[in-house]
Amino acid sequence: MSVVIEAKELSKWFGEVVAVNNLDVTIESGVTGLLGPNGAGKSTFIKLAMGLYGPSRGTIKVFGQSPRNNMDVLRRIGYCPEFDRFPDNTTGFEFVYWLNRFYGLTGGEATRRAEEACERVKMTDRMDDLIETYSRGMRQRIKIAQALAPAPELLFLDEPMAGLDPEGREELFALIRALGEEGRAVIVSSHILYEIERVTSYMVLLHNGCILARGKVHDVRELMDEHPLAVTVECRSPRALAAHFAGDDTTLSIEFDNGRVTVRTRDPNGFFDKLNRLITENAAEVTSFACADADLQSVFQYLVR
Amino acid sequence: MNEGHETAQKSAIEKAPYMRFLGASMHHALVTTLRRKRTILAGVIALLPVVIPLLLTVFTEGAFGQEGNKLFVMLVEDIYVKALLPLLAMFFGTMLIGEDVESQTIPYLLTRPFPRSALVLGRFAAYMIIATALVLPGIFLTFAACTALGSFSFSPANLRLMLHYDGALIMGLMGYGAFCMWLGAFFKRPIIVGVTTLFGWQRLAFFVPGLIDFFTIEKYVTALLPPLAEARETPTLRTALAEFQKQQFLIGAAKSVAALCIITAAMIAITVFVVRWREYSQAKAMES
Repeated sequence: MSVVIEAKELSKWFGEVVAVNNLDVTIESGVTGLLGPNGAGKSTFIKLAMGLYGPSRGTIKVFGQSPRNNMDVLRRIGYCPEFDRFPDNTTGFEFVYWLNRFYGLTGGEATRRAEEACERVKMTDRMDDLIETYSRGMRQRIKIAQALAPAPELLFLDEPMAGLDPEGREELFALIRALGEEGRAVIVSSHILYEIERVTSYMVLLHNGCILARGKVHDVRELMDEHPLAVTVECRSPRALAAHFAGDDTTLSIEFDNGRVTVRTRDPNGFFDKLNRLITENAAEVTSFACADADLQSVFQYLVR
Repeated sequence: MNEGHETAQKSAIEKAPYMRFLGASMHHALVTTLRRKRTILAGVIALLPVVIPLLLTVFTEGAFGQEGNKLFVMLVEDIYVKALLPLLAMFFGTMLIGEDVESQTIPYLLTRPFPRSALVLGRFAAYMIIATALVLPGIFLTFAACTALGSFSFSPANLRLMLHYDGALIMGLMGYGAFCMWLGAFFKRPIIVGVTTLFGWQRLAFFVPGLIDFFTIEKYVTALLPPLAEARETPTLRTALAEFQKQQFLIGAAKSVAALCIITAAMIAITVFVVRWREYSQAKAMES
């Protein structure tokens, strides 16, 4: 596998805030997960790699070149940002089309690629509607479409699962794995370990701008396994849902609170597989679920110790 | 999402010619600006002076009637040049780059392999097309409405006068627009800085003794206006106009055109530099 990104003693600070601190990392083609809690420096690292920021110290090279204002590098990159912002009064198709034109594509080619990208993220039916009318999940899909449209060699997906429903997440997991199998380099950031595990076996764990661990997810997972994960599920019948998990050896505790149930588990993979199945079967009428950030934070603190 | 879709092209996109980027930038800016409600509002504002001669035609008569020539010159010089020109430039110029900064969508543009100069020049060209298309019909309709007041007609001399004003206004739109585009790219609140500069500083500079008014754009725009425009049809005055212009404004028309071209080029170059080097998401990153 070839080296796609190489950072040496890379630091970035904003005033007195150090966002990325002395990173030495190389990232190769295939799918790489950037994992870390909010404020860990994931997005800043991606923006440094995209050339949106210049390093305060050290160097970062993408395809062997500095990415800042480097058109040769940008031509090979796609970027799905974490922010949920779009131009006003624009349809999903126009959004992707115009961003294609800014790659230097002709009108016809930009149209063809925009249609393909919308089809790939299953937005063909709604691509002619204004983005203002989209749900959060649809907006996320159209952001991914604009990143995929130019068929980049390197793709940055910053928190791509945010706002997607369980079905959408599964589709995106499959898409990311397929992109990796095509030989593209895909960098996916998330603050949820489970999401990273679903798409790659290689990850970089960031905390407070520093690399805490990197390597095979399995190895990092083992470090974390001793620490349980808490997941809060909001549903119509919390007790019925809890009954599905109560008998598991890996379930440490179950708490009820006002229509919600919080399950602490030692096996997040098994837990999410079962939860997804229950949601698909509509067995528990789940309206939402979330990993408690505080818990992930405590996992990191556990690793820091 | 369709994982079974045909394998995407592996190869990177090939380098496109500069003019294609420039065309895409201009086309995009034209399409998005023409959809804005503020463009319709700007069009209405640009046509407001037309109402004045029409109202005067209906409501005044006899010895109290306004002469068309005087009214046309007054409307163009006092309303179009001094008020509408900077207002329209601020209206559109600040949003050329500033709107993407304000709405935080600029990273989409800056992560494209898009020459920054093509982005800025394309948008500036779109602004010039739209602003000119809004102002020139307003001038023509004002001219036509003033002919209804008497002592003013579609004579060749008067049409030349109107074309002279058209030229001056286009130069003004250019200078003010480039300045406002830079404001939009550089400042967080470009409208506040624009109002302070164009309606505060420019007014003040004309009251301060000395040559401080040379640090305003209005100085060069007004120097392009035809002196004694109300009496231009008097042949004996025409020969003295060029010299008089120099005495009145301390700067000739040719030098004013050159000054406005230099201001425009400098502002565009600075805007390109700002767009290339500014880290637009920094404020957000600091907040997080």
